[in-house]
Amino acid sequence: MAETFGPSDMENGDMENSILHLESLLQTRFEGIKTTIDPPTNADGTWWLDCMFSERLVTVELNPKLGIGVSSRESALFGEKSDETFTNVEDAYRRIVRIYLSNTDTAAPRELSLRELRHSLNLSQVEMAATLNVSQASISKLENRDDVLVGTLKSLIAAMGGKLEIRALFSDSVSKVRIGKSVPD
Amino acid sequence: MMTMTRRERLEKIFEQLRMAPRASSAEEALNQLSDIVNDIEDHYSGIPFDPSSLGNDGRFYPPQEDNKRAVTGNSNVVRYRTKGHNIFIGSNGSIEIQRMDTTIEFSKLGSDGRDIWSQ
Repeated sequence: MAETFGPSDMENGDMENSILHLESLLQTRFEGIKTTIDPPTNADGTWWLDCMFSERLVTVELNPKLGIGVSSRESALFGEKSDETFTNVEDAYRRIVRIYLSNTDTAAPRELSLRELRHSLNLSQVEMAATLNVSQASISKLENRDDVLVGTLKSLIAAMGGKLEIRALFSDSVSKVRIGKSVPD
Repeated sequence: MMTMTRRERLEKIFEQLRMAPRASSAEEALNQLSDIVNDIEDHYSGIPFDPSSLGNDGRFYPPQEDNKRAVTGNSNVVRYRTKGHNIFIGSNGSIEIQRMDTTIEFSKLGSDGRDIWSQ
Protein backbone atom coordinates (compact mmCIF):
# COMPACT_ATOMS: atom_id res chain seq x y z
CA MET A 1 0.00 0.00 0.00
CA ALA A 2 1.16 3.53 -0.62
CA GLU A 3 3.30 5.30 1.92
CA THR A 4 1.55 8.13 3.74
CA PHE A 5 3.05 11.58 3.99
CA GLY A 6 1.58 13.54 6.87
CA PRO A 7 1.65 17.28 7.51
CA SER A 8 4.91 17.03 9.47
CA ASP A 9 6.60 15.45 6.44
CA MET A 10 5.25 18.24 4.25
CA GLU A 11 6.78 20.78 6.60
CA ASN A 12 10.09 18.97 6.51
CA GLY A 13 10.30 19.95 2.90
CA ASP A 14 10.77 16.69 1.04
CA MET A 15 8.32 17.87 -1.54
CA GLU A 16 10.09 16.43 -4.54
CA ASN A 17 9.89 12.88 -3.16
CA SER A 18 6.21 13.39 -2.33
CA ILE A 19 5.28 14.55 -5.80
CA LEU A 20 7.37 11.85 -7.48
CA HIS A 21 5.69 9.30 -5.25
CA LEU A 22 2.23 10.55 -6.23
CA GLU A 23 3.18 10.59 -9.91
CA SER A 24 4.47 7.04 -9.65
CA LEU A 25 1.27 5.83 -7.95
CA LEU A 26 -0.86 7.39 -10.71
CA GLN A 27 1.30 6.02 -13.51
CA THR A 28 1.02 2.55 -12.00
CA ARG A 29 -2.76 2.84 -11.59
CA PHE A 30 -3.63 4.43 -14.96
CA GLU A 31 -1.78 3.13 -17.99
CA GLY A 32 -1.20 5.92 -20.47
CA ILE A 33 -1.68 8.79 -18.05
CA LYS A 34 0.38 11.83 -19.04
CA THR A 35 1.97 13.69 -16.14
CA THR A 36 4.01 16.87 -15.94
CA ILE A 37 5.77 18.12 -12.83
CA ASP A 38 6.16 21.90 -12.50
CA PRO A 39 8.85 22.52 -9.84
CA PRO A 40 9.31 25.84 -8.01
CA THR A 41 12.35 28.08 -8.30
CA ASN A 42 12.83 28.09 -4.54
CA ALA A 43 13.29 24.71 -2.87
CA ASP A 44 10.61 25.53 -0.30
CA GLY A 45 8.10 26.69 -2.90
CA THR A 46 4.96 25.01 -4.22
CA TRP A 47 5.17 22.05 -6.62
CA TRP A 48 2.50 21.32 -9.22
CA LEU A 49 1.62 18.06 -10.94
CA ASP A 50 -0.62 18.10 -14.02
CA CYS A 51 -2.22 14.76 -14.93
CA MET A 52 -4.07 14.09 -18.18
CA PHE A 53 -6.06 10.88 -18.54
CA SER A 54 -9.30 10.16 -20.43
CA GLU A 55 -9.28 13.77 -21.66
CA ARG A 56 -9.55 15.02 -18.07
CA LEU A 57 -6.92 17.28 -16.53
CA VAL A 58 -6.33 16.93 -12.81
CA THR A 59 -4.04 19.50 -11.23
CA VAL A 60 -2.29 18.82 -7.95
CA GLU A 61 -0.69 21.52 -5.80
CA LEU A 62 1.84 20.52 -3.14
CA ASN A 63 2.43 23.35 -0.72
CA PRO A 64 4.97 22.61 2.03
CA LYS A 65 3.06 24.65 4.62
CA LEU A 66 -0.58 24.25 3.60
CA GLY A 67 -0.87 20.69 2.26
CA ILE A 68 -2.12 19.25 -1.02
CA GLY A 69 -4.73 20.80 -3.32
CA VAL A 70 -6.57 18.89 -6.05
CA SER A 71 -8.64 20.47 -8.84
CA SER A 72 -10.11 19.05 -12.01
CA ARG A 73 -12.41 21.71 -13.43
CA GLU A 74 -11.32 23.21 -16.73
CA SER A 75 -13.23 26.41 -16.07
CA ALA A 76 -10.88 27.58 -13.31
CA LEU A 77 -10.95 31.35 -13.00
CA PHE A 78 -7.80 33.42 -12.56
CA GLY A 79 -6.77 33.62 -8.90
CA GLU A 80 -8.89 30.73 -7.58
CA LYS A 81 -7.38 28.40 -5.00
CA SER A 82 -7.50 24.60 -5.25
CA ASP A 83 -10.94 22.99 -5.05
CA GLU A 84 -10.23 20.24 -2.55
CA THR A 85 -7.47 19.90 0.04
CA PHE A 86 -5.70 16.96 1.66
CA THR A 87 -3.02 16.52 4.29
CA ASN A 88 -1.31 13.48 2.80
CA VAL A 89 -0.39 12.02 -0.57
CA GLU A 90 -2.36 8.81 -0.07
CA ASP A 91 -5.67 10.64 0.43
CA ALA A 92 -4.97 12.89 -2.56
CA TYR A 93 -4.14 9.81 -4.65
CA ARG A 94 -7.38 8.09 -3.64
CA ARG A 95 -9.36 11.21 -4.57
CA ILE A 96 -7.70 11.45 -8.00
CA VAL A 97 -8.45 7.77 -8.65
CA ARG A 98 -12.11 8.46 -7.77
CA ILE A 99 -12.21 11.47 -10.11
CA TYR A 100 -10.97 9.38 -13.04
CA LEU A 101 -13.06 6.29 -12.30
CA SER A 102 -16.28 8.21 -11.68
CA ASN A 103 -15.61 10.72 -14.48
CA THR A 104 -16.59 13.61 -12.21
CA ASP A 105 -14.97 16.90 -11.29
CA THR A 106 -13.76 18.33 -8.04
CA ALA A 107 -15.92 20.94 -6.38
CA ALA A 108 -15.07 23.89 -4.18
CA PRO A 109 -16.19 23.39 -0.58
CA ARG A 110 -19.70 24.62 0.16
CA GLU A 111 -21.14 25.87 3.41
CA LEU A 112 -23.23 23.03 4.78
CA SER A 113 -25.53 22.59 7.76
CA LEU A 114 -24.71 19.70 10.10
CA ARG A 115 -27.55 17.72 8.55
CA GLU A 116 -26.31 18.40 4.99
CA LEU A 117 -22.78 17.48 6.04
CA ARG A 118 -23.97 14.18 7.51
CA HIS A 119 -25.98 13.43 4.36
CA SER A 120 -22.97 14.19 2.15
CA LEU A 121 -21.04 11.52 4.07
CA ASN A 122 -23.89 8.99 3.74
CA LEU A 123 -24.27 8.73 7.50
CA SER A 124 -27.60 8.22 9.27
CA GLN A 125 -28.64 9.79 12.57
CA VAL A 126 -28.80 6.26 13.98
CA GLU A 127 -25.17 5.59 13.02
CA MET A 128 -24.05 8.91 14.49
CA ALA A 129 -25.99 8.22 17.69
CA ALA A 130 -24.36 4.79 18.03
CA THR A 131 -20.87 6.25 17.56
CA LEU A 132 -21.50 8.97 20.14
CA ASN A 133 -23.45 6.69 22.50
CA VAL A 134 -26.48 9.01 22.56
CA SER A 135 -30.03 8.68 21.30
CA GLN A 136 -31.04 9.32 17.69
CA ALA A 137 -33.38 12.06 18.99
CA SER A 138 -30.35 13.88 20.49
CA ILE A 139 -28.65 13.97 17.10
CA SER A 140 -31.83 15.28 15.52
CA LYS A 141 -32.09 18.03 18.15
CA LEU A 142 -28.44 18.96 17.69
CA GLU A 143 -28.87 19.33 13.96
CA ASN A 144 -31.78 21.70 14.47
CA ARG A 145 -30.15 23.95 17.06
CA ASP A 146 -29.12 27.49 16.19
CA ASP A 147 -26.21 27.31 18.63
CA VAL A 148 -23.97 24.40 19.63
CA LEU A 149 -21.20 24.08 22.24
CA VAL A 150 -17.75 23.86 20.66
CA GLY A 151 -17.03 20.59 22.50
CA THR A 152 -20.27 19.06 21.21
CA LEU A 153 -19.50 20.19 17.68
CA LYS A 154 -16.00 18.75 17.96
CA SER A 155 -17.42 15.35 19.01
CA LEU A 156 -20.01 15.44 16.25
CA ILE A 157 -17.43 16.17 13.54
CA ALA A 158 -15.11 13.51 14.97
CA ALA A 159 -17.98 11.00 14.81
CA MET A 160 -18.28 11.82 11.11
CA GLY A 161 -14.57 11.07 10.70
CA GLY A 162 -13.41 14.68 10.53
CA LYS A 163 -11.62 17.20 12.71
CA LEU A 164 -13.05 20.53 13.81
CA GLU A 165 -10.81 23.52 13.21
CA ILE A 166 -11.71 27.08 14.24
CA ARG A 167 -10.03 30.00 12.57
CA ALA A 168 -10.34 33.71 13.28
CA LEU A 169 -10.14 35.84 10.15
CA PHE A 170 -8.99 39.45 10.37
CA SER A 171 -8.45 41.91 7.55
CA ASP A 172 -4.70 41.27 7.54
CA SER A 173 -4.16 37.99 9.36
CA VAL A 174 -5.60 34.60 10.23
CA SER A 175 -5.19 32.58 13.43
CA LYS A 176 -6.22 29.08 14.34
CA VAL A 177 -8.15 29.31 17.60
CA ARG A 178 -7.51 26.83 20.40
CA ILE A 179 -10.23 26.58 23.01
CA GLY A 180 -8.94 26.11 26.56
CA LYS A 181 -5.77 26.95 28.43
CA SER A 182 -2.64 28.19 26.66
CA VAL A 183 0.13 25.69 26.09
CA PRO A 184 3.02 26.60 28.45
CA ASP A 185 6.18 27.95 26.75
CA MET B 1 -21.48 45.75 1.14
CA MET B 2 -22.34 45.39 -2.53
CA THR B 3 -21.32 41.94 -3.75
CA MET B 4 -20.67 40.88 -7.34
CA THR B 5 -20.46 37.48 -9.03
CA ARG B 6 -17.05 35.96 -9.62
CA ARG B 7 -17.24 36.72 -13.36
CA GLU B 8 -18.19 40.34 -12.70
CA ARG B 9 -15.31 40.72 -10.24
CA LEU B 10 -12.86 39.16 -12.66
CA GLU B 11 -13.96 41.55 -15.41
CA LYS B 12 -13.51 44.44 -13.00
CA ILE B 13 -10.02 43.25 -12.04
CA PHE B 14 -8.92 43.10 -15.69
CA GLU B 15 -10.62 46.43 -16.45
CA GLN B 16 -8.80 48.20 -13.59
CA LEU B 17 -5.52 46.55 -14.52
CA ARG B 18 -5.95 47.81 -18.09
CA MET B 19 -6.71 51.34 -16.87
CA ALA B 20 -3.77 51.50 -14.43
CA PRO B 21 -0.56 53.17 -15.64
CA ARG B 22 1.98 50.84 -17.25
CA ALA B 23 4.47 49.53 -14.69
CA SER B 24 8.20 50.00 -15.19
CA SER B 25 9.50 46.97 -13.29
CA ALA B 26 8.47 43.44 -12.40
CA GLU B 27 8.02 44.42 -8.76
CA GLU B 28 5.77 47.33 -9.66
CA ALA B 29 3.69 45.16 -12.00
CA LEU B 30 3.26 42.44 -9.39
CA ASN B 31 2.32 44.98 -6.71
CA GLN B 32 -0.17 46.62 -9.06
CA LEU B 33 -1.78 43.27 -9.88
CA SER B 34 -1.88 42.23 -6.21
CA ASP B 35 -3.31 45.54 -5.02
CA ILE B 36 -6.07 45.52 -7.64
CA VAL B 37 -7.07 41.90 -6.99
CA ASN B 38 -7.11 42.38 -3.20
CA ASP B 39 -8.94 45.70 -3.39
CA ILE B 40 -11.74 44.37 -5.61
CA GLU B 41 -12.10 41.20 -3.58
CA ASP B 42 -12.20 43.19 -0.32
CA HIS B 43 -14.95 45.40 -1.70
CA TYR B 44 -17.09 43.06 -3.79
CA SER B 45 -16.53 39.40 -2.85
CA GLY B 46 -17.90 39.42 0.71
CA ILE B 47 -15.31 36.72 1.46
CA PRO B 48 -12.55 37.45 4.02
CA PHE B 49 -8.91 37.31 2.94
CA ASP B 50 -7.54 33.95 4.11
CA PRO B 51 -4.11 33.01 2.80
CA SER B 52 -3.72 30.33 5.49
CA SER B 53 -5.61 27.69 3.53
CA LEU B 54 -5.17 26.10 0.10
CA GLY B 55 -8.88 25.51 -0.34
CA ASN B 56 -11.06 27.43 -2.77
CA ASP B 57 -13.10 29.85 -0.67
CA GLY B 58 -14.62 31.62 -3.65
CA ARG B 59 -12.24 34.57 -3.43
CA PHE B 60 -9.55 35.44 -5.99
CA TYR B 61 -5.95 35.72 -4.78
CA PRO B 62 -2.95 37.40 -6.44
CA PRO B 63 0.14 35.38 -7.45
CA GLN B 64 2.06 34.07 -4.43
CA GLU B 65 5.83 34.16 -4.00
CA ASP B 66 6.07 30.40 -3.39
CA ASN B 67 4.61 29.85 -6.86
CA LYS B 68 7.36 31.81 -8.60
CA ARG B 69 9.31 30.11 -11.40
CA ALA B 70 12.18 31.13 -13.67
CA VAL B 71 11.45 31.08 -17.42
CA THR B 72 14.05 29.02 -19.25
CA GLY B 73 16.03 31.10 -21.72
CA ASN B 74 14.42 34.39 -20.72
CA SER B 75 15.85 36.07 -17.66
CA ASN B 76 13.58 39.10 -18.20
CA VAL B 77 10.44 37.11 -17.39
CA VAL B 78 9.26 35.30 -14.26
CA ARG B 79 6.28 32.98 -14.12
CA TYR B 80 3.78 32.48 -11.31
CA ARG B 81 1.80 29.25 -11.42
CA THR B 82 -1.79 28.87 -10.20
CA LYS B 83 -4.18 25.95 -10.61
CA GLY B 84 -5.49 27.10 -13.96
CA HIS B 85 -3.13 29.82 -15.13
CA ASN B 86 0.44 30.95 -15.64
CA ILE B 87 1.05 34.62 -14.89
CA PHE B 88 4.12 36.04 -16.63
CA ILE B 89 5.67 39.24 -15.31
CA GLY B 90 8.35 41.08 -17.30
CA SER B 91 11.23 43.14 -15.97
CA ASN B 92 9.83 46.05 -18.06
CA GLY B 93 6.56 45.85 -16.05
CA SER B 94 4.60 43.92 -18.67
CA ILE B 95 2.04 41.29 -17.66
CA GLU B 96 0.56 38.29 -19.47
CA ILE B 97 -1.97 35.89 -17.96
CA GLN B 98 -2.29 32.59 -19.81
CA ARG B 99 -4.64 29.70 -19.24
CA MET B 100 -2.97 26.29 -19.00
CA ASP B 101 -3.83 25.66 -22.67
CA THR B 102 -1.73 28.83 -23.41
CA THR B 103 -4.77 30.93 -24.38
CA ILE B 104 -3.97 34.51 -23.40
CA GLU B 105 -6.59 35.85 -21.00
CA PHE B 106 -4.98 39.21 -20.30
CA SER B 107 -1.90 41.10 -21.44
CA LYS B 108 -0.47 44.52 -20.78
CA LEU B 109 2.59 46.33 -22.09
CA GLY B 110 5.42 47.56 -19.88
CA SER B 111 6.31 51.24 -19.50
CA ASP B 112 8.71 50.92 -22.49
CA GLY B 113 5.74 50.05 -24.75
CA ARG B 114 6.90 46.47 -25.28
CA ASP B 115 5.01 43.30 -24.49
CA ILE B 116 6.39 40.56 -22.32
CA TRP B 117 8.06 38.56 -25.11
CA SER B 118 9.60 41.56 -26.96
CA GLN B 119 11.68 43.08 -24.20
